[in-house]
Amino acid sequence: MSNKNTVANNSNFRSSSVRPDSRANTLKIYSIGSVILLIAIVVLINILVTGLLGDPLTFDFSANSQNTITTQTRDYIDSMPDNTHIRIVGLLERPSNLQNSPYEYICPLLDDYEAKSGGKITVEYKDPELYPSIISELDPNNVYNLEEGSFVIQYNGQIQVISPLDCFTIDEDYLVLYNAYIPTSNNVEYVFTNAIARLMSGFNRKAYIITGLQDDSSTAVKTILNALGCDVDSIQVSDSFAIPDDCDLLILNGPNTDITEKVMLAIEDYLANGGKFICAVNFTDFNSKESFANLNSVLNTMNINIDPYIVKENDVNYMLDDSGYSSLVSVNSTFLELSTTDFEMYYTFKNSYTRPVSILNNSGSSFMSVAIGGTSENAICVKVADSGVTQYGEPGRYYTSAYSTIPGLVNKPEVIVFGTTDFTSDSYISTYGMNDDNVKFFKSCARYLLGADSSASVDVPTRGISDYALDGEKVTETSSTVVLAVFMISIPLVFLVAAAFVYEKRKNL
Amino acid sequence: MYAIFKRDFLQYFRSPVGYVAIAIFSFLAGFIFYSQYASGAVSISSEVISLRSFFVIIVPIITMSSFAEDKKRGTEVLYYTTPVDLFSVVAGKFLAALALFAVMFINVFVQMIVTVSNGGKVGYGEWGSVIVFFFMAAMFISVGLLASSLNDNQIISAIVAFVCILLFQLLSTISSYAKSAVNAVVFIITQDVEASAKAGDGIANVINWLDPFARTSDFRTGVFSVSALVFCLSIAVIFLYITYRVLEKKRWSQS
Repeated sequence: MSNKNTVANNSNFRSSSVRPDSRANTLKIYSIGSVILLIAIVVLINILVTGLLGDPLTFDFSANSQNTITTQTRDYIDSMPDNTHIRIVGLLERPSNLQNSPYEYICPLLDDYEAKSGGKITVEYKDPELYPSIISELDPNNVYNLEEGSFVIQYNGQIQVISPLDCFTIDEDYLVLYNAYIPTSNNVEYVFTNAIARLMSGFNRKAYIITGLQDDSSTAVKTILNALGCDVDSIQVSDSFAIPDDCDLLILNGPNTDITEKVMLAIEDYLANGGKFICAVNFTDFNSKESFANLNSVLNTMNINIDPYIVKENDVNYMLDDSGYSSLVSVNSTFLELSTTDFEMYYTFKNSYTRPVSILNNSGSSFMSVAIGGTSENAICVKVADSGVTQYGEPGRYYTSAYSTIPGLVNKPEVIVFGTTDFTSDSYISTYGMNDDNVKFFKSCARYLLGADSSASVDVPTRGISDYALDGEKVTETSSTVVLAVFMISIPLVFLVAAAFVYEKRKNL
Repeated sequence: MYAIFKRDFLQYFRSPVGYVAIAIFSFLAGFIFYSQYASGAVSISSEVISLRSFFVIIVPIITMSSFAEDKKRGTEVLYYTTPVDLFSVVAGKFLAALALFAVMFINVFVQMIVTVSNGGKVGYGEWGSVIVFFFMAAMFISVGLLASSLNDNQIISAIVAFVCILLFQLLSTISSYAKSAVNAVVFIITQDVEASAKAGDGIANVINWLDPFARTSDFRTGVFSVSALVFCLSIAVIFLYITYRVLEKKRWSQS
């Protein structure tokens, strides 16, 4: 009996020693299986969340909502036919680190274009080194000289090329002083939406900017004109100066010296054939003695003259600085009547270092000439000579800009003259941005002279650059030292001492 | 779970580990903050997103002792002999480590106050980057806990966690190398530049899909993506579950 029990016990022992192994194997299979299942579920959830809910669950908390297209662009995209397909190609690999590059403002916004276009806009990144055929695919005739890093918008076989630098207004003063690019305004959406609008509308004009008479560039003016559907080129002042036949708008921006006789004759001829001309001069140290005789000769044919003085405001309600050379000007009531139909309406502009612009009132002429901006009734003109500054003329209202045309002609010439570059200079536009009234008025003038209809451009507001600047008065050398001492030295040191103390107390436990 | 959480959280301050981790984090955060402050512009989101790079140092320090220390002292047996769910043990330790991160982060909150009081900006974008920082911390802590549960040597645990987190951090580099390699191989086979580029892009996209740093880099610019948070949370759940299975395995293999 006892032997039988022993055998039975041994047999039980054997079976119980086998059972844990089989359970361990089952558990092992269960463990591995459950982990694999969990990974599969997690991958599936992530694919679903990214693919289906990724866009609705992505929010733009940036300053100025810089990564989100505005309602103006959304409305414009919504108004496109459903079968529209616009292709945006970045000629680069999408940067993995966007920090401190222009793409920080471009790539997330383009993602938003694609996400909110309902398939009408696609965005892709193709590095020409990896995809050499992309260049010939986009520009088969090699017209545009596509460069790596730029963006191409393609619609119906037509393309628009956008360089990242076109998308920003740059601090011109900083650029001149330190040769470094500091963006002051984010125009990414403005540039891209208007490039799309231009392609969609088929609107195409050509503007020329006269160069060689000034130091400053006209980058901002070029950006504005491009956004209006206008190609921009420059014509260098030379002995062979000629205005091309395809010129729809001629611009002379901030000359320091007078135009040459050759240029004068060319512009006169251009205007006689119904040309459109925008001229902006100012009063600076470089041109204070310049009376622009040749330029005035041209403008006189359009009933306008730029006087060789500087406007000085004396009314404190208009003055923007103590000197009176920077001031507000109010828009002439006659022009306001005209502006309700042809120009966008504004009531005041900022003007600084401005030359007076006068209407000649040629008797018996068929001109329609209207002053645009005017000073208060207390302004004066000042003449600058080697002997010093002298007052010229009685206190009164002086005009700082004017419009002139000859109505009734089939090809009517039109001229807009600004006695200041506060409408057109890179310096002004980089300081005040594209949403400033002066700049918006210039856009309005260019749009009017180019004959652009509203479908060729979209009035997208530009945005400021994310500004994390601290109060300059509070950030001093002393406060920086305090920050260094507290955050980088004291706090870590306190915790290290505490660590040493705890270690010392517990090392023998 | 609360008992485990409380014990482990206080344990960080009964040993030098918590203080050293806070000291290192404070120094790094202070360095970035001071650099920005001295330049006159402070972007807290930029600072917080930059601090992600230091998970590779901080997380192994915090998690190396979580399980390894218990194993070394033999107190690990308490998990198996007391009526406590093993997942509660894992969750308690995980939350304790995350709470330590929250304590470390007080430093950054103070920096936010300094920024605002000096005329700087702290907006929704900055809070978004703080949230994603904690989700990434949760993810890497779960990696560190798994490393700690695999052996009883704290140094080895720390090294394993360091290597794993470093691998995550190097995914973008790995993807670009893999892309070049696949490019070259496919080009040798097909002699087609664009086919090789597409193959390279494909492999890079797959690797980048797994890269938490790439998924969360847009938070720096104020983009708040819930899918990135879901991804971090998913990875954390996977590693916590594997840690739980590792402990569970021991329970059965001991019987």
